[in-house]
Amino acid sequence: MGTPQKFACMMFLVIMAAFMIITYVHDVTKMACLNEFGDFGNYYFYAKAINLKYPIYTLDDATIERLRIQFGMPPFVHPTLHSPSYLFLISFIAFFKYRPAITLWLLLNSAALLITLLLIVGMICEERKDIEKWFLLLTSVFLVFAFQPLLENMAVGQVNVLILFFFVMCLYLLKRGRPLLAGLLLSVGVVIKVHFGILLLFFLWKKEYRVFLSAGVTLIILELLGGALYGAALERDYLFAGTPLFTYYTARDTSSGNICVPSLMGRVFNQPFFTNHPLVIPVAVFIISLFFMVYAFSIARGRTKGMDMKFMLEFSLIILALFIVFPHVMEHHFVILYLPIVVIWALLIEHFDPFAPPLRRGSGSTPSKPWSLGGGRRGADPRAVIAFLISFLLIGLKYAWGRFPTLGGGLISLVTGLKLYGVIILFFLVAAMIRGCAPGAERR
Amino acid sequence: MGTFQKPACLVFLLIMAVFIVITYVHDVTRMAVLNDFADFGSYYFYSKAMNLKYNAYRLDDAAIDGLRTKFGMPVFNYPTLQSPIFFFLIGFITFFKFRPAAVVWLILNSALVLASLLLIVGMICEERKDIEKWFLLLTSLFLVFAFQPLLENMAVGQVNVPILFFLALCLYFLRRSRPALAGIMLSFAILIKMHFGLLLLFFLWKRRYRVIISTAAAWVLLELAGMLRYGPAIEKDYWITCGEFFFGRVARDISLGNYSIGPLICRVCADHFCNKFPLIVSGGIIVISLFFAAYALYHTRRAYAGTDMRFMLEFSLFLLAIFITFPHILDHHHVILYIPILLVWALLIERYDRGAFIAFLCSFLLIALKYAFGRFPMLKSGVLSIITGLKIYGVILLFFLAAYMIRKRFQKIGEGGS
Repeated sequence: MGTPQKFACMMFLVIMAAFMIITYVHDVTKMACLNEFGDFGNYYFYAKAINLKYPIYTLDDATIERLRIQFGMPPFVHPTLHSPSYLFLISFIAFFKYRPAITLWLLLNSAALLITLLLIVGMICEERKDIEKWFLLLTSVFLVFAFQPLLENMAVGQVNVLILFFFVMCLYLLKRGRPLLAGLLLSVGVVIKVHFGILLLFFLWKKEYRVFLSAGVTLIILELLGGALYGAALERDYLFAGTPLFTYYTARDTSSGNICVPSLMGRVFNQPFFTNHPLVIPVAVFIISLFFMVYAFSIARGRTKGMDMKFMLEFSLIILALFIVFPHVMEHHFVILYLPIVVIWALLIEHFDPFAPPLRRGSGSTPSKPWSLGGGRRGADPRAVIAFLISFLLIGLKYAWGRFPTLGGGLISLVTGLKLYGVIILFFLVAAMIRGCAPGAERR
Repeated sequence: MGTFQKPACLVFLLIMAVFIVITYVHDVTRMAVLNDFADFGSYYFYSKAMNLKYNAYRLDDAAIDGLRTKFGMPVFNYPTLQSPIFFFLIGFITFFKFRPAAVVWLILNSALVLASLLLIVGMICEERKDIEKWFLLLTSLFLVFAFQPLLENMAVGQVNVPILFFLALCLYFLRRSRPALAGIMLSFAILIKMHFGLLLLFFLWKRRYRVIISTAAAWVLLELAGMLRYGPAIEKDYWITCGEFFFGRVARDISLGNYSIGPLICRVCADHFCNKFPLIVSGGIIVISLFFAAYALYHTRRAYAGTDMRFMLEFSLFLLAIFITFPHILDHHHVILYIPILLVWALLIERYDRGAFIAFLCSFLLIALKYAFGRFPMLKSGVLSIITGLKIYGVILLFFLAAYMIRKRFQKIGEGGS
């Protein structure tokens, strides 16, 4: 086997990237005309209602229906779990009518996605001078736009791309030595979906106190701002009426669309034995969750020198652990996994060479990093590539189980955990990369 | 920029190819469960009806509906234009119930897509020793399985993939110096869709008389077999139906889904021009069609013995000319264009040519991307409907690109180009 000419490879990647991006634009444009965007409808409705001073957390169905017709929008998912400050932040969208608002939203999200991709690739290339920029960028375009969770996210008008954007911005600012700004952006991401608050603990754990403090203070200010704008009563409603709803709603959701360990175990073990002994499953879930969380934090321990790729992976590892154990994870949340996926991909292509002799001293062009698979001297382990392939396919492919009621419970519903298995493989792959002791990695 | 790493490229192409193929399998499986397969339904229905001694070409709507319910199948497209022997050849499919039959059909067609792909790539690699086989194969997988016309084809259960397969086999046998077998393969393709009979002109032009004789003989034998099986009356009705269709419906089909140049011109000139000066419009279409035919003939004018890359490219050029000028070209027909697309792609990766690459990029995107105009009634006629010709612009671009490749890369006959 010879090497294909570089121009041939580049030509193919240009065709492929153009194809993927145009297909994405086509699909999203079609959605913008035809979809109802149940989740975006939720943000839009409550942002509008809260600015009209309605107590949005305690609205009854009749009022919701009346307001919905008044706002001229299709049915949507309710109730809301978002904080008043989030609704304030996106309330600019409520100035538009529903269809223009959703178009704007999709444009905004797509732009944020592109910027995020460029930021991630840019941060990687800054650190790894001898990676082919064009190759990484064009292949990442495939990984990003072929990813089915992205279309799921856009099809319901979800907000996950913005969360990813804020997280990546946070990492970027940290890299640029602006921890306070980084914390601010982190807290904006956390305000959107509260369970990412665990990332604050991560920064505390990594002894990035300034980020932690800045994020904490911003969070409090944002909540206070919400209280000041919409009244303390509403803020209280959010905390006290919203939170029980949150726990009730999420802990019991064992539908096949909920992709996480607790939900999967609820589905698989729905036999009489477990209904008679109701504590068994929660305890098992708790132990598993504890394992993943402790494992993630123990891998991510120790202070790093600045925000490098290792830090990005550790940050991703916490998110991955969260996705595994948090009791309410939908497919569209996985767009946040672009961060680990692109970073790992860059590490794999950096030195992957299954045909190289076991040790080629001095041939690696970067100084070896103990934590990266292979780390320069020796090619990365093909097993890491296979793990990445399987995990990317499991998470990124288009498939769903809604049409198969037989998979709703019992052992056979193990199949419905395929996306979760992909996430778990990715989790261990990231952990192995961080530890630098994946099978075959350089330890000698 | 550092040095380019082969393994990275290989790994990416593997991930991409696996992703694309699994996505295809998912989509087709989903179709198998949910779609009605109007075109496959037609093959299935008529094949079943013919074997029950019904005259497929003279069934009235009531009879069709009665039989359809009896066969337990959904609504399908009719009437049929396939010849009696075609229904005999696919008769094995009628032993199954409709859903299983559709599944068998989809699996068969998918296998044929793969076989055609391997055949074409194999022929290219045979000719071009220093092309990277794995690179060509993996990138071709993307070109083939990301191609929207393929999904259109499978979604209605069309029969274009077997045509592609027979045409590729025809080229293959020609390369193996078996003109008689090549002719038989070509006759199968013609049997399925008659307008590929125009390819005989190409073989005549290239003075491959044995192919022509063999094709004609095989075709006559097949039609005779059909007559023996179903009786001459049915054969006669078949020809009458075909005549009515080709001179009646086809020439007048200017709907958005019809991509060839005649309907496009009719759409664009509709209302204003067509009605006032029908002769000018038809004359214009004929002149344009003649131009493409002449252009193709000019580029394929030299007859020589071998079946090398140049010959295959000339064959493709002729095929493209048919796609441009024949008045009834639907989206799913374009799967047959895998032959020119893969040939041109192989020539492109062999030597860098910026202009040709940009032309290929545009042409591939125009033909292969997922888009349709059915939801936009304002594009049905008038100047705006120029947009509805995007696919044919892609085909025309590919046509000129193939011609350009013949001119640039194969100046000397017999050496197979550089």
